Amino acid sequence: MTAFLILLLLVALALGVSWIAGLRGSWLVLTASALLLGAAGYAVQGRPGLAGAPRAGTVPEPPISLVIPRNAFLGQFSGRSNWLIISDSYAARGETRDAVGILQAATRQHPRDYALWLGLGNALTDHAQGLTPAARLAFARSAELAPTSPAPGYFLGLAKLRSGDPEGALTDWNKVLAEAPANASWRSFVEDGVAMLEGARGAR
Amino acid sequence: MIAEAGLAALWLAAALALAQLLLAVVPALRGGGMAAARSLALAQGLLAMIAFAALIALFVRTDTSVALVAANSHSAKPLLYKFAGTWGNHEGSMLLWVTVLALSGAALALFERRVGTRMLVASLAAQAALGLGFYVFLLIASNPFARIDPAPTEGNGLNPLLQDPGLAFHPPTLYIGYVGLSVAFSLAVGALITREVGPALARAMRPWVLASWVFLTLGITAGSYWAYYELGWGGWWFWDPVENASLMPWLAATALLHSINVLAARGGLRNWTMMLAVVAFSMSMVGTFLVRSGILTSVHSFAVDPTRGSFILALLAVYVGGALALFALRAGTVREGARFALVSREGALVLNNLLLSVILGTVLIGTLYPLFAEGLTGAKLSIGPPYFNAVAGPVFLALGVALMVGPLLRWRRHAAPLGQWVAPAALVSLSVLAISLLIARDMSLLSRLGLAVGAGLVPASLMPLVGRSLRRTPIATWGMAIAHLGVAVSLIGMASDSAFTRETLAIAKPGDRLTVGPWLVEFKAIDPVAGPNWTAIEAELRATRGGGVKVLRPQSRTFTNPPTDTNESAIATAWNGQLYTVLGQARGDGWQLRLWWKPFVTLIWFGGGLMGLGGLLALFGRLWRGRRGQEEAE
Repeated sequence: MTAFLILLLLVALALGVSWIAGLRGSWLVLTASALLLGAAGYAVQGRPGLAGAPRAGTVPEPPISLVIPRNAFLGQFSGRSNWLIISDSYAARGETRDAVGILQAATRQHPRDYALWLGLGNALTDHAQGLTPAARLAFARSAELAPTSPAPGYFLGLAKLRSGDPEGALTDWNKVLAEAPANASWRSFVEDGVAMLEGARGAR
Repeated sequence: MIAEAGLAALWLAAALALAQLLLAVVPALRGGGMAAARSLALAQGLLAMIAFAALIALFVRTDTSVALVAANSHSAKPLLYKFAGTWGNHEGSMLLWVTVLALSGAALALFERRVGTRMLVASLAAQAALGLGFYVFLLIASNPFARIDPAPTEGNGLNPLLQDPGLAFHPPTLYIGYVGLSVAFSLAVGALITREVGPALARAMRPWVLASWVFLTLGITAGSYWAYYELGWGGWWFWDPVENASLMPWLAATALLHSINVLAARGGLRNWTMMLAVVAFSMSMVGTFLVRSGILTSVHSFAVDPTRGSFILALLAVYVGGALALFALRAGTVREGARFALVSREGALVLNNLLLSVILGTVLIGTLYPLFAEGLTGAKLSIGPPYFNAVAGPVFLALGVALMVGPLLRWRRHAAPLGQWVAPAALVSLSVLAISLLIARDMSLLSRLGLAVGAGLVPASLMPLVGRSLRRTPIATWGMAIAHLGVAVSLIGMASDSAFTRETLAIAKPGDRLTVGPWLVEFKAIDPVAGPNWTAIEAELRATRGGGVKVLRPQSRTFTNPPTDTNESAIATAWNGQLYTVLGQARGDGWQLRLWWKPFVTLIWFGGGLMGLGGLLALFGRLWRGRRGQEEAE
């Protein structure tokens, strides 16, 4: 109904402009006839009952919360956790680019802190909604700085999983698990992840 | 509802275009005269503008119930690219085309006072006929407001290569140029129908052609710079069919512009002017057909979507064929203009037209030949710089030499000796030629001659200002001198770039040092970064030359929607050229780096800007003079 009202308004507008421009009498009638023809065309082709569907940008939640496993791998109250917490708060508001920016600043100040590079890899994955070469570079730098830490391998696998590459994630996590001490506090995260992916593989 | 409002406005505008055409064609309706034609043109322009504004609103809101938005936008895109994405696709760009066409018609109806009512009504009818064809094309074959139900939850996104500020300005600028030529075409058709080909027509046509020429010049210049920095190949002109599609109308418009001046000032070159007005708009249509039919990808892609391609081809045949038939019928009745000697300003302008026409023919053949060859034999051919440079290059140089002399000649007949006027240009050209032979023996002949002609053209362009009181010199004469200077400056930039560019390709890692031309480039670091809808790997390069230091940050970007990788070049501009850097993929423990040193390459676009400025001055000067003349007459 609204669409036909708009059509009527447009016809009135066109006639009004024509009248103001000096069109009178039979020429105004001719214009009205032409507009009627146009309106008929719209009536045939238009879909006045179909509502619009505007979309606002949305940030999908990560499939697995990153804060708990990150604390398990890195510890909760380290000197660098402030940067990570600020970045998390930006990401939670959907401001993923600023979340990346915070950690870029952090890595510039502390270029040899593997945890910050790890956080940057996660933030870039959040921002791109998947693993990109930029995030890969951040994870690789984290692994270079802490070759014995399981965290870069675990979070790289997680990023692969979020990008729709469960096989890649499984390979990375199996590797982490193979080198994991039996009593490591974070071991359960990796085991749960591997079990979930192997279960999904079996179901496929 | 916005989509429905846009579609309704488009239908109503199409109906008014039909009424406007009938007004001039049907004998019983001819009594409507100017008031009816004017009001219909105004209302049509308004409705077309509403339709286009509706499409912009749909893109800004990412309304995925509209098929076009769903296919070409994404909610996460920055606002500028949502806005510019409106014309970054087939349907949107055609709607922009028809909107500019309708607004041009409205402006013609509103402001044109120099030609008679009969001719103006006929011209507006021709403009309406052009518009009508494109409205029908949009509504039947390319509906920008087509809906989808159910609407997808998200759009596909815009091609990342098009996510650049250049896109926001380049296509509309070119379209204004193309469509402005439609007014020249319509005025020519109106004049042929009413048999009123004369100086009044030229004076009416001139501002439109000048404005079109300025927009085309700036659009092509901006497009060339966009391709240069965005595509990451360091080239500024590829003789690509899409580029040629914009160059061909520009060549025809340049010839038309010069012919119009002869017709307005001396009443001569009437048939040339009529023919060029038809050809200039035809080239816009050919360009539109080439770009929008899909035929450029392959002749076979034309067969995949034959509706659109066939439609534009049919429009091309009807409009251009009709106009040429009209020209053939009426050419004999067009009164002969004032006669002139071979050595005269008119003679030089005829030579200018001939040379531009040869270049136009060369570009047209080179652009269309691969399509014919593929259609006939199935073989895929590519015609590129070797053909175009070899065939069109020498003609461009001949045009440059003619440009040194032409503006110095007098109207009708030039009898005075020219030596003292031409000597400085000849001296500069010969000196540059000699110096290039001494210090750059490996230059190609075309580059060497281009540099010599361009250098000589600098003083030659300014020669028409010598001996005049500069304050009393008409603004249009300043415009001519500056536009010709722009040609010279561009020519020097082109020749210098092709002769002196230096390139270094390497696999490098942080800490490595490379040299290119006079620059020492140190690879300082490589880091991940993020932008509004992309992430990237960014290199930090520190380039030094003498005491100066430039920091460059080329990027290898990854866009998410749609997933695409692009290379963002980083460019450092110095007074004598540009250092151009591109970061490629990781290779082993290093990264691909491409470095170019391009001496004086910036002159290419600076010259383009000067040409545009010259055109603007000429336009302003003509309008101001016309207004002053009108006031004095009153």
